[in-house]
Amino acid sequence: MTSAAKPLRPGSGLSFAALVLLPLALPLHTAAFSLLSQLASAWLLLLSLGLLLTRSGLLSFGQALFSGLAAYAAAHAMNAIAAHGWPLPFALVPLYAAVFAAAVALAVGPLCVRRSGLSFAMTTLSLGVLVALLAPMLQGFFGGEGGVAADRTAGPAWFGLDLLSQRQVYGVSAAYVLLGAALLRRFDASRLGLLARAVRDNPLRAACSGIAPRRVRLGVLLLSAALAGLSGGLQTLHFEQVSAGALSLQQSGLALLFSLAAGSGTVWGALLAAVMMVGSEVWLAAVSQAWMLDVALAFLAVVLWAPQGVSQAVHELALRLRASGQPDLLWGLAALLLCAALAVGGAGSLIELLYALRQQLHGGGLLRLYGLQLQPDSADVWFGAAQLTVTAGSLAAVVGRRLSRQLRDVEVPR
Amino acid sequence: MDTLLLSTLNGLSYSLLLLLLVSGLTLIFSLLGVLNFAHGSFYMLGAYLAWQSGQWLGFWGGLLLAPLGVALLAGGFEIAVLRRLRPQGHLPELLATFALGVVLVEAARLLWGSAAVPYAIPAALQGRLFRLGGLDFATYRGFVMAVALAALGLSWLLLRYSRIGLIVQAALTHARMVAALGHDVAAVQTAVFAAGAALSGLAGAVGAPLLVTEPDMAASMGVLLFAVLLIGGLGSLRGAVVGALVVGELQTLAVAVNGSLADVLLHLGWAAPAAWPARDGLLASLLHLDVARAAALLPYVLLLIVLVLRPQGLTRALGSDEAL
Repeated sequence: MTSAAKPLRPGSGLSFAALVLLPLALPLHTAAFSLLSQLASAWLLLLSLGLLLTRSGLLSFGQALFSGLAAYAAAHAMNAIAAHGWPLPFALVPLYAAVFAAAVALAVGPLCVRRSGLSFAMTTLSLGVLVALLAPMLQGFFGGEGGVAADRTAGPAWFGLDLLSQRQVYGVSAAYVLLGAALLRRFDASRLGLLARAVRDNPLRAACSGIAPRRVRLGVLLLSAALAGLSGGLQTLHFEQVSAGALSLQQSGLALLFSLAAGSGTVWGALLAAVMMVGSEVWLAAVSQAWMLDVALAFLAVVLWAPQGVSQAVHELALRLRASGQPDLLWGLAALLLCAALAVGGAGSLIELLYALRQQLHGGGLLRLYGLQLQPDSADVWFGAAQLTVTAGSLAAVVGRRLSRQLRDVEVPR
Repeated sequence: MDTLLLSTLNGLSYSLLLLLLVSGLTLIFSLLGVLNFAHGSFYMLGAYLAWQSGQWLGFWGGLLLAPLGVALLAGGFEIAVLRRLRPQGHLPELLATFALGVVLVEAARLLWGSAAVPYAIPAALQGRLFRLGGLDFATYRGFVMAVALAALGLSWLLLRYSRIGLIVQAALTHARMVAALGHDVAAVQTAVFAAGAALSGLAGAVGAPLLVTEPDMAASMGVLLFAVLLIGGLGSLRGAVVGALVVGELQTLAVAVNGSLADVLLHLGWAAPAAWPARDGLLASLLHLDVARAAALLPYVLLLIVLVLRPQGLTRALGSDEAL
């Protein structure tokens, strides 16, 4: 999964910027802007993880340490500005949060970056747990159970930016997303970006060429923490509330999972990852109680069949299909997708049935699934779901195997 | 003095439990090169399986079945997933164990609910083993020590003197040579993965009655195990022993301490911090934090200190290939 980022097509950056700014021109509902703000904050967090992994080969299991602490710092900053009446607009608070997160990274980073690989992963995990455990104990900063609340409208309004409407909050978020994308672009062209790749691929050789691997890794970690800090600051601006959940291990773990599953080292990859993450947290969690189980199983499937991440796998597949010169293969792909979707639907309904049977939560003992009323304790339903899963799954396996055999020998022009 | 001795004994039983978990983790890491992120989940699964099968077969049946069940599941996972991913390097394997850990926790939530289940000490093992200065040493803690020592001793004997143990030892350092001599290294790896999982399943089955049996026990124990590994030194069995002893004793002894950092400063003759209100800012609340409440934190604080002073862990020398 540490493969190099694909080269940017010219105009890719422009279309991304247009996509980010487009919703501001549309007459969208408040709820839509709220969702978009969450998407923006998730995008920055996932980009920070993807940047760390793809550019320097570091796997952070404690990214919530940076985003969570930054979220708290933002809340405290907003309260302090409101209390003292300082003439600072709240739209700048995420910047402060980013600086705060970078400062945290500067303090703990030297411990983490001594070695790459497992050591880095385990150290960030331990640091994340330490702070997550410490948070409920230190009421002075973390506010105990209730967390810290802040009012985003209490700051001075500059140029009519009072943050009263969700549209304005999304506007600020979009600005920071564009800043993040610009930073990423600048980083890739910079000396540090090139050094980071060198250190990732061969630290010994880099060190022999007079590059200090630790310093390079620390530099990338600082940038990654700053992006995570922006994400935390935006989250505070959006929710006007931070609680200990922002620091939790689950937050770090979920973000890492989606970052790896989608391959979030590029702006588009991070967008895919953010859509997947916010989609699961908002939509899937509302539909199913078993959403964490579904997400973990899906991640396992990605690790097995597309270990370089979904966005990279799709890119690769498109290249091979184009190079093969056989349009008929598209039909095979469509068949594969259909079978896989049916198999996923079957497996998902098995999980839902099991849940319904174990918990008896659904009124009248009936389970609503895909618009159908099902009796979770009838053998027919179970048999049908199992049959669907097995049949569609084996069909997908057969089609997938033939398709990959066809595509394996295709020469891809590089 | 007696209190201290008793706390040390309690700490020792906890340390042995940790050692049961960490030794399997270390062996898997040394042989497969994979840091098993699902180890905490195996521990949780062991506890749940022991409780569930204990409903039908009684405590002893559960104690026997839990490690077997966990070993079967782990062996199946190794064959079905890890073996397929091996050609692609260690990162996908690590991520697969991470995903398995989440899957197991969520499956436990599905089957047994998020709340704790009443997995209790059986009647035959309740009561005290002996009294020490007016304080009881629980029979069950002695039982935990005995089980852990027996399992660890048996594993050590197997590893040291049996034929398969010799093959495992050889495969640790010269896997390709062992394969060239006609031994099935892949099968050995599966066996070691299953055995390590069985040890952690046993730890869950025997240790959970002392703690709480709930899905969250997987995450807290899993991360603690990594701290133990890093403190001792990643990949060395001696390090695992040292780390488990240090962390187990540290956590248990800290629970028995009454007081906070502010009290220490007060003893040293600086009274001002003790007068600061506890809710007033980061520093004051840190100073007023009870050591007993902070016991869960101490392994991680110790880890930070170790990482600063000796990044390779307490027992290991830094390898020439990992200085960078």
